[in-house]
Amino acid sequence: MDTLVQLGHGFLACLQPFNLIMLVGGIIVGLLVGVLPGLTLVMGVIIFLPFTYHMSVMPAIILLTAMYLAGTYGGAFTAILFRVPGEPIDVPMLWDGYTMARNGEPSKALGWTLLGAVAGGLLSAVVMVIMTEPLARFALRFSSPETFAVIVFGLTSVVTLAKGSLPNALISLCLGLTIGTVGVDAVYGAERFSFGLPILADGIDFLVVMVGAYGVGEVLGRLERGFSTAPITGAGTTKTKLPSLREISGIRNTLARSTVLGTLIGIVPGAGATIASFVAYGIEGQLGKRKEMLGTGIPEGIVAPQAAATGSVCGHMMPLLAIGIPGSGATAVILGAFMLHGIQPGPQVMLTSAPLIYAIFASVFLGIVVMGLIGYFWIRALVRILDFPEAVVSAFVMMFCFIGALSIRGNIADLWLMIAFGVIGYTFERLRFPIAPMVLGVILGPNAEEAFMNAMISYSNDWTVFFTRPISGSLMLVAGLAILASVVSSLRVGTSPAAAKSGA
Amino acid sequence: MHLHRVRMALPYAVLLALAAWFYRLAGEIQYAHQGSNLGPDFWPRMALAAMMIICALQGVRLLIFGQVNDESIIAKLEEAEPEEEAPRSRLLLAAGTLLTIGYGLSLTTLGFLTASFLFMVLFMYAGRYRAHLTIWLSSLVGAVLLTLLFQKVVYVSLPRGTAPFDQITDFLLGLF
Repeated sequence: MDTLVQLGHGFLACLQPFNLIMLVGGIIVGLLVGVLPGLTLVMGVIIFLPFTYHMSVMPAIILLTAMYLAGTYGGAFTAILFRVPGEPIDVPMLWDGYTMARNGEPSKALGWTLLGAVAGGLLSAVVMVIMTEPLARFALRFSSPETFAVIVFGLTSVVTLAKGSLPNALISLCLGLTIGTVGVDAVYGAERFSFGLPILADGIDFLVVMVGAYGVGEVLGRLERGFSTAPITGAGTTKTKLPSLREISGIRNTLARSTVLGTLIGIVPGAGATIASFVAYGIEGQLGKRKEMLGTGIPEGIVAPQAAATGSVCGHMMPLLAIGIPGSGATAVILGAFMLHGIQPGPQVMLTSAPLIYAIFASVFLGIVVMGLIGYFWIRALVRILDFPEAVVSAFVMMFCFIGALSIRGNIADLWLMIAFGVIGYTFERLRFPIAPMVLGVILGPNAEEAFMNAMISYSNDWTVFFTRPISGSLMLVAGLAILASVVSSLRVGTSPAAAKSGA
Repeated sequence: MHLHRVRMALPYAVLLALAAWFYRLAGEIQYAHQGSNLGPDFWPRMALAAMMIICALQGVRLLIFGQVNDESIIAKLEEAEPEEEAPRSRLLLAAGTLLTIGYGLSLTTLGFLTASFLFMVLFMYAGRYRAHLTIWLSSLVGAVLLTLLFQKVVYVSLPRGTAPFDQITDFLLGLF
């Protein structure tokens, strides 16, 4: 009952004019970001972060969360209509969504996508509201060994689930952890790797790393290919046709299963919406009633990935709000927004700033409804953004990246750092080193070091404390098994015999 | 040794060398020792040591076995529907990189408004877009709107530039 009362207050807070404007604005921008193939969801959230600097924390988080939510739905439009996935999460949409459109039912395909996004999102939002506070209360039992173990688990998940090989992901992580040590350390106040430069003595802000690696690096990569995404035509006749209640009843198992999957996958740090989308499609292919027809343009092939992708957003928000561990790149930016306003998310904030947290919960519910309404009524207007040439959009993206860097500390040195990380991000992409582990290493590395050092001081350098305490020991065991499983899998795949023969 | 294998192992050698250098630098961190407590050099050295070991192992693996197919399942899934990608152009990459560096170098002198306008024009041309009116108009409108939005609404401090470019910025901001 207390939860419902608090949620009610949260809805009232969301309906305040400025918060509501941020919610609707965030949904629209998120849908546009999702539609544009050259702009990823994380990039979109990053480049809008500077807009939040002078807002209070509630509208800032509402804006960014709304963008995140809508971005998981917007990309399905172009995947279904034009066979161009707006985001990697929309690749499974091609298999049944585009096929259904090609079979003469594009409006129906869009309707199924809308259902998956709205129903999946709302169901997972209920789970988020129910489970976040108990998770936070559980996290209150953590001391420094448990905090360290949770972060290790989070970083391990990011590494084992990242694109690229495990060694490359580990190298990327180690680099991120090292970058996170630049500046003054928290325990001794000693300067590390500052080379006598004041800007480095203040440390490297993780937003600089994110904006550079995800923003500038991505745009440079697309420029290298000459912005070759062809303009898309024929969006003028687009509309959405909702399925009937009877049709919806027929896929209720798919909807429930995919939503639960997406929410659970979202809880695991590093397991983003992309994984949720693919796994849900794969599970549908194993357990679905009409699994043999998957890929021929059936609703299950649309609803499963979409419900999981949107559901994973609430899954990602749970560890962020309850423990302070971001579950994805976008929630890492949301974490940044919290920290910019002097708030470190975690169990204490969950319990002492409940009005803020429940306003965020309410914004997710409202945002999903608004997203569905805008997606249904305004889809033609949204896909018109595809008329914009990629070169023009990318120039503006670069400008937002520059502004983002300049607005962090008001220092042009951050612009240079961002450019450097842009080059690093581009180079990493070319060499197939995943960027996500580096970024999360920068974000979580300082927290991990502080927890580790505090534990070592408290327990007289007894490193076994991480393995002998039940919670930290369990988490470290799971993390170790995950790494071991990845190593075994990697060794089993091993060398390509053909490549070895050719002397490559 | 096959040249291709050496080329594949080269990035790991570079990263190994960088990590080794920073590892040595970490040993020179100045701090007040506190009994047997771990120092501020421990954590970075741990990360760098791990990085060196992995770089060395992966480099050796590539030199001996050549191509190693150990892409994660996620990478394979995301590439399930590969886009038909245009060929890469080093010239375009160099142009974009130089423009970005040039923006940073010129920002203090030209100011945000002028530097951004010029950057966007040149960037769109570098991106092979050739609708001249759209380029110039969108760049002008974009630079003006972004300047006004971030300086007047969001209150982010952006460089005004030096004379005479600061007068352009002041003129625009003075209009609103």
